[in-house]
Amino acid sequence: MSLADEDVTSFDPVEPFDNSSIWTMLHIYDQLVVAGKDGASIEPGAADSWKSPDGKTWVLHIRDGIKFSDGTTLTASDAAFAMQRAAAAGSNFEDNFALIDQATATSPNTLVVILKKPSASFLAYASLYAASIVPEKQFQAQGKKFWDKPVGSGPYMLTEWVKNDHIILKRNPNYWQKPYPYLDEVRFDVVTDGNTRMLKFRSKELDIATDVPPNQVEALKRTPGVSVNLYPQMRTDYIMFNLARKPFSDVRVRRALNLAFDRQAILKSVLFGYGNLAGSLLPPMLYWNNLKPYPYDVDRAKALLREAGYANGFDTELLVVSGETLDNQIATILKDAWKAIGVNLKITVLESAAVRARRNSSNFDIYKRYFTSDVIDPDELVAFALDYAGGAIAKWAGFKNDRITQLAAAAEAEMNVDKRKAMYFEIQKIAYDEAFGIPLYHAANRTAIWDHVKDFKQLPTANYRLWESWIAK
Amino acid sequence: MGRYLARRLLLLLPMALGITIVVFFLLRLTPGDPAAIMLENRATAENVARLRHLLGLDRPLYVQYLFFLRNLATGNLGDSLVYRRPVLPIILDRLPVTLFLAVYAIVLAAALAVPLGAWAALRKGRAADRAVRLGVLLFLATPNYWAAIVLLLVFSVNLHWFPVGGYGETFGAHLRHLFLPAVTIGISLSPILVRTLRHNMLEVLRTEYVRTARAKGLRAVTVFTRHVLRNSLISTVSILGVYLGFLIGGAVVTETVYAVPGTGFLLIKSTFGRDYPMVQGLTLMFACLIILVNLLTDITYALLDPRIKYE
Amino acid sequence: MSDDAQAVPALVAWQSARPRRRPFSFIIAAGTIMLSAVVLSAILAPLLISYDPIKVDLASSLQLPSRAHPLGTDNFGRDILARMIYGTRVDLQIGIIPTVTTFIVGLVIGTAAGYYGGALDGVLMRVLDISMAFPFYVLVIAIVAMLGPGLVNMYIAMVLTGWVTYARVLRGEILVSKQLEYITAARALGASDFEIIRRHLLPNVVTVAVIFAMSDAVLNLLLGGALSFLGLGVQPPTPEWGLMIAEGRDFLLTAPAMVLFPGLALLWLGVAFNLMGDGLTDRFRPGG
Repeated sequence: MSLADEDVTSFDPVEPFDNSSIWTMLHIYDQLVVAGKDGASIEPGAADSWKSPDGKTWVLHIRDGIKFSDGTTLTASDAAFAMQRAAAAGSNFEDNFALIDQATATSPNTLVVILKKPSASFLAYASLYAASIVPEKQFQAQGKKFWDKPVGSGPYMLTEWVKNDHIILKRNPNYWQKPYPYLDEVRFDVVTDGNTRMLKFRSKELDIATDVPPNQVEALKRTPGVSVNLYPQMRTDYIMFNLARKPFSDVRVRRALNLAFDRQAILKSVLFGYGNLAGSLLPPMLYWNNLKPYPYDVDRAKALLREAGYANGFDTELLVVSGETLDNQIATILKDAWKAIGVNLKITVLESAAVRARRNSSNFDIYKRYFTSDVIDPDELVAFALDYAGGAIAKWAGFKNDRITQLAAAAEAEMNVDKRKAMYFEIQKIAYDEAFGIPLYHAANRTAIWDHVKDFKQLPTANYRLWESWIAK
Repeated sequence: MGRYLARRLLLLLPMALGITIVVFFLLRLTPGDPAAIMLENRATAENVARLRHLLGLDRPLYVQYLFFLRNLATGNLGDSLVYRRPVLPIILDRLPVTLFLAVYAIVLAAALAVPLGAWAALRKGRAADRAVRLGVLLFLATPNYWAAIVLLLVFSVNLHWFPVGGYGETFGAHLRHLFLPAVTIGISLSPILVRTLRHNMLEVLRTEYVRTARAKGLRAVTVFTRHVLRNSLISTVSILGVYLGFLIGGAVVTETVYAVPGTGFLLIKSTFGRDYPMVQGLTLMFACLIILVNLLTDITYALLDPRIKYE
Repeated sequence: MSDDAQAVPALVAWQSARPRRRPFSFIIAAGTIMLSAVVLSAILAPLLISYDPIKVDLASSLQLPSRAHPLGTDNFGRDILARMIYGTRVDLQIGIIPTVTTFIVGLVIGTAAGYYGGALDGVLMRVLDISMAFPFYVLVIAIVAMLGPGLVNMYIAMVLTGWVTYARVLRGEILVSKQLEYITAARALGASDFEIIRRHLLPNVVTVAVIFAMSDAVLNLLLGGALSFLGLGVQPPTPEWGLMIAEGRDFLLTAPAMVLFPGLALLWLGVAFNLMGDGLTDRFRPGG
């Protein structure tokens, strides 16, 4: 079976942020637990049971008889090592695992994790790919080189990685979860361009095409032998301002920019309606909010700019990722729309790595990105998107709100669902009122599949489980 | 011949020096401090100062250049800002793809251009000649990225004759994967070949010895193949370096459209990634390639053509 | 081997070109008509079509050809024909501005080197040699990569790399013409260098450069379009044919007109320049 996406940047679980790396790793490694198919529950993984009387001490039982693809046995100490590594300095997910005080193996099958304070989100974090389990001994022996030929206990193993061309995964004969995987081999072609990916799909070089350009969905649906599935996913496309820079430090300017374009028209003409408008950066599903997106109101936007002292508008720059067709379309639409309030937008197109670098060093005016959620708990996303202390989007954008930081910490420790709900709602309301960036829309995952592919499904976390899929002969 | 060779090699020195100067100054065109650019999000004042010192940026320009040369001599073209690895192995990894594509394109273009060029020269001024010249005009003006898209749509998507993009793993797969890209480059290369060949052939046809050969009663076909075609082909091939320039330019565009993982695609990606050391390294590599090809063709030319004397 | 053998192939033939008057040329006429059509569209654009080529109108996006929109609309609801017509303004510029600029720079340097010789000529010859080692596209892209994408930076890169070819052609021509008897005579009569160059040498050699400029315009047009297609040249929403092809690529299967017509337009303009160049070559160059 073959699919196409961007190249994997690294097989070291604590490195990458990009979806290709993440989704490929999820086929190679096991985690203690995994995010469920419904996007709300936690399923067992390498750990088949767990208990925690107080939310602070977690005792997890490691499944018997899990073997890595090289034949060695996965033990609780490998799992402890994974936790420690994810939380260590140098991990890109240090913040996510900062709540861990210690992780120790008390027996080959027992892992005890003690948190610094009780957390309702611990299991959700443990499901994160960053805590993927690898054989500690082999890794220690090989060092960094281990990641060129990684070994895991997942359904597949990496057999070939030709950088910038393709990745081949073969079935792991030692995989514990029978009868998976069904397929002997899975191939990921590196195709960065969405258009080329679709051409490859149409010429039957690919069995599955993810992220179908919205304008092709209708035509593909009419193609015999092809079905296009729309899966809801926890994804937000957004525009972010640099609040540390003028004029974006002024909330009136941010509101004006939010008001000065037609969201509905973007949803219709860019996404062809395959999704919903966003009122918050947090994706729907269990991220409770009832926020209505800002309306399209040029007059109010103009008035706000005048109040803020920018009656004649200003010049600014928008960073867009090269090859992201929809983003480039949005950029053109915004440039046109914001002209009406005197904002002169310069569009700069860069490779994703360059946009990321400029975003992470707060060296931007405005950028357009999206994120999908790998963790089915609001805590990670609040930390990632809205909380300055989370060290990600809010920090890069210079959005420091003490109330949000306070609420985020309180919500994480709160075990009562309704109270948590209220706190997460308040966090989102603050971000909304502060016009922290522009949440654009939550796009549905559009996936084209040839009819011979069976049991393929994209989860709300946007990844897929190819080990459950098979091909009809 | 030995003296010619020695002189030819000696001439390479100033050439190589000049190329390194161009490549060296290329990086100085970037807005801002190269050290700050390289460090990106780790660009604290202290880090920048340290890297500036390490790169020798705080020293006079000629010292910086000497540093640059010393690094080159040890094969160190710097680290890619995107891949965070040395530039050279990444380039060398992808070079075979581009070379394969270039050779493939030459072969296809020659297969079309040699008969057409010869035909046009023999029928100079007649309808056939005019038709060929018109074809040359059309091909010369065809945007190759546009041709690439049209070919892809027709032959890959609609007819399923060729795969879309990629490079493949076996020789046969390369041939299939790179056919349309090679045709695309061939479209812009063949008119140049036709023109040059036609011109060279007319020159040869005018020469004394062809007329003599005909006068001596040799058969027209013999004269044509043994003298005219051979000599005009030799002088056509002698400027292989010039074609290579076209080829590489074509490869940059077609590799990008067809998503062929070669150096041209890498150049475009690096441009959007602001991967300055990679762009620098690629530019240098292409220049070296052209010099090498020029040297080889010159030497072969000298060996092949007995009429040429070198002083 | 001499340097001349390394020149752009088509040039080799022109090295010894001498003007000779000929009667009406069909090729030049065809080229003139084709080029005039483009120039007229550029000048009369607002009269030819009332749509704004840039204004986004999402309500009417991706419409099929109709009486109101003869070629349909693009994904932003902009009239494709309007963008084609206004595109003439940008693409003519891309064909002409870098060509004329490189022409002038190359003319000055090439003439000076050919006429005065000496150290200046020596330096020029080395620069020529070195520039021959770089593939034109790669050097232009590399310079744009360093300066940042954009139309002006693209022009700068094209001029920085393009002038050497003109300098080479003109230097060669001047070297030949300098030896002519009447030039020697003029010098003997005490004419100043400037006078000799302006009155006697330039008229002699400029034809060759003009012919070359025609084919160079095609090269620049193609390169400019290619760079814009790649996202390195003209930036959206400016209507430019190469950029339009890039934008249309994503709608290839739903609205092929977005790719087809800009490509044909580029082909048209390229052929027009080529015909002019060919016609002029025929007129001023004896034999094939």
